[in-house]
Amino acid sequence: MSEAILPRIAREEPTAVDECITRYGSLVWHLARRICPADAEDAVQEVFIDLWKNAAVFDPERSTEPTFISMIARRRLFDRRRKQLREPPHVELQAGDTIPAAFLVDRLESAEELTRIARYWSQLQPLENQVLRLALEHNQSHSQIAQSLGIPLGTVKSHARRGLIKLREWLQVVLPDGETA
Amino acid sequence: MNSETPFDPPDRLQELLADRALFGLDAAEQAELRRLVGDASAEENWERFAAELQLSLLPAELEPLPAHVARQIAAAAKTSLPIMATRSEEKSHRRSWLTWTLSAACLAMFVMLLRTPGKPPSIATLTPSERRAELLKDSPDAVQIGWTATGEAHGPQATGDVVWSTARQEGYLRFRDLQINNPAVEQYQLWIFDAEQDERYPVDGGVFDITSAGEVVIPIHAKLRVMNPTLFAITVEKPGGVVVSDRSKLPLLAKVEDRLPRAAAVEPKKAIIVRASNARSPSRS
Repeated sequence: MSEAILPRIAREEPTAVDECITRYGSLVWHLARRICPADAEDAVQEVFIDLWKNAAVFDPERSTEPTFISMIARRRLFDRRRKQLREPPHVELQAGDTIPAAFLVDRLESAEELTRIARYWSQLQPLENQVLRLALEHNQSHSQIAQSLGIPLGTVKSHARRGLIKLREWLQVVLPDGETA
Repeated sequence: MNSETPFDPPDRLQELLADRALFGLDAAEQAELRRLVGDASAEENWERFAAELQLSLLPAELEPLPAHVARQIAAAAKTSLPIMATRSEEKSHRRSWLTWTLSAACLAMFVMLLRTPGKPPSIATLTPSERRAELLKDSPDAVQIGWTATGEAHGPQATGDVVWSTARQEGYLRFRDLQINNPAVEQYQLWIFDAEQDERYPVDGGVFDITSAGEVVIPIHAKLRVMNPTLFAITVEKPGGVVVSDRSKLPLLAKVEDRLPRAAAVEPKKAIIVRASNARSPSRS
C-alpha cells in the first residue's frame, strides 16, 4: 500500500502538495469532468484546495486515502453543481489519452474486495443496476438519468436508493462505532 | 444475499442519506436531513460508501490531469495555503544544497538508464501496442482471440484480435481495416460478456475512435471487474457511448472459446488474420 500523502500535507511538508497532484490528479479530474463538465478546470482546483485544508481530518482507520479523496471531491463537486443556476448541459466526453492511475495500483491489493463488489452489482435488479451505474460511473444527476432512461424522476430516485441500500446491506458495511449497516 | 431478498421500504432518513451520497441535496432537503439525523457521522458513512462503490467502477486507466491545470493548482496552493508557502521559503535555503545534489543524482541515473541497453521503459511511456506485447509476454493467463467480422458496413473486411488478462484486468483491442469514424457522429464501443454477470447486461468496455486505416491498438477500459469473459463485441453508438446497446450496428465479435493458441500470440502478423466466415449475434440466448 502506498504511503498516504494527506498526513504529510497536514504536517506541512511542501513537496507533498505536488505529490498529491501527481497521484490523485487523474482521479479528481475524472470526477470533475463528469460532475462539473462546464467548468472542470476551476472545479478541480477548488477540490484540491479543499482537500489540503481538510488533510488533517483524514483518518486511515476509517477509509483508504483514495476513498477519502473521492468522498471530499464528490461533496465539493455536488455543491458546485447545485450552486449553478440551472442544470448544466450534459457534455458528451471524448475519450482522450489515458495513463495508468498511480493510486489504482493499490487496488491490486484489494482485488478480492473488488470481485466481491462486482458480484453484488450483478445481483441488483437491472434498473437499479443501470440507475446506480449512471449515478456513480457517469455521475449523472437524477434528472439526467430520468432523461437518459426515459423514466420518471421519482422512479430514478427510488431505484437509486434501493440499489444503494441493498449493496450496503449485502456488503455489510461496518460503521466506525461497530454498528453494521 | 440475492435479489430476491425482501427489503423494507427505506425510511425518510435513509432516503435522504442515499440521495445525499449519490446526488447531493438541495437546501430544503439538507435542512430536513439535519432535523432527522442525530449524528453527522451517519452522513459521512453513506458518502464514504458511495465513494468506495465509485472507486470500484473506475477503469484501470484514467485521463491524466492536463499539465497546465496541474501548474495552476500548484500555484494556487502557494496563495491558498500561506503556511506552506512560508515554510517552503524558510526551508528552501536549507534544502537548496540537498535539492541540487539530488537533482544531479537523478540526472546521472537518467543518463545511465538511457545508456543501459535493453532497459525496459516505464509502463507510462509505452505505447498501447508495446503494452499489449508486454501483456502477452508477461501474463500467462492472457488470452488472444481473433475478431470475426459480421459483415456490418463499418468493418466487413476488418481483422485483428483481442488480448485480455483477467488476473491483471488489462486488455487491448487490435484492428485493421475497421472504418474510420467521425467522433462527432458516432463512436465504437466495446462490450464484454462475462459468465459471472447477467448476459443481458454485458460489461461496458469503453468507447473509442478509429483514426487510421492501418493497424490500431486500443486499451480496454472495462467499467466493472471482468471475472470470466466469454465474448467481446464491438458496436457503433452515439458519441460518448450508451448504457445499453440495441446492437443494431455490430461489426465485430470475438468469442473466447475461439481463442488463438498461445504460440500465435507471440507472432502478431500471423495472429491477426481472422476473417468473418459466419456472422453471429452477441446475444447468446
